[in-house]
Amino acid sequence: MSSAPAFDSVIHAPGRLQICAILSSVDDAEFAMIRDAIKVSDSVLSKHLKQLEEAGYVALSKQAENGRQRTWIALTPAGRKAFAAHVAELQRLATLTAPEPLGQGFAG
Amino acid sequence: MESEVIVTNEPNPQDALAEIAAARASLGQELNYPLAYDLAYGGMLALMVGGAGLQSPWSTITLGISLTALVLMVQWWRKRVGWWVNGFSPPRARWVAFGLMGIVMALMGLSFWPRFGDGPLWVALVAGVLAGVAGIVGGRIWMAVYRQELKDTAR
Repeated sequence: MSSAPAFDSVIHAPGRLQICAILSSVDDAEFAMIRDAIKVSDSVLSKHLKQLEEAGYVALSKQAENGRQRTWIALTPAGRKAFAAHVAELQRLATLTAPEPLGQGFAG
Repeated sequence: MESEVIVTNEPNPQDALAEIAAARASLGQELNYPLAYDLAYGGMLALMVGGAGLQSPWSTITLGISLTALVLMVQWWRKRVGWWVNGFSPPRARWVAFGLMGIVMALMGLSFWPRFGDGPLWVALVAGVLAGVAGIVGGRIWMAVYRQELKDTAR
């Protein structure tokens, strides 16, 4: 999927970037799996998810499993689109700011 | 002259792309699942395709068992791995899923021959076995392509 590059400050924050990266590769993921993958506490992950949810980028659903409630998270279509656009912008910026190889740009 | 230093914890583009790649790679590294899962998937496909050649009610019973097995497999995967991806979702790996679906549909058509035509029953059995093998091999290939996709793409 190609998107027009667009920087998104909601997605760009450390943590939320990793959450979106994981969710963009799967259909949905469980809260504990994401928490362990990005190595944050429950409360920090909850805050990140709340911000993404308020932006309309993720959808949360509760599912009962062996008598326990588990939270599953999925990127919404708007979230997938925003993340793809953000990554496209990062790639554009990365090419602009890429350091010159050693030995070039010097005429001594 | 005092210079103002702006401190930010937001990553620069290169670091951000590296974070994305690392997050995706970690997803692939944790993808250790038993061979039994692919064997079960092959068995489910073998039963579904082979059973399609049987007369009613056996064709319905085998279809019901194989679909129940598929639901249980999905539940097991979600519980163990903590995420789910549809076979047709990943941009590259989906072509393996399309290929496997084509093979299974062709074998299913072959399996219908004894049921709706006058073909011998062994044709359905052979079609079922071939579907099972295709499922096992296709499952392993799909996962290898998906793993590579996770490593390669920072999309």
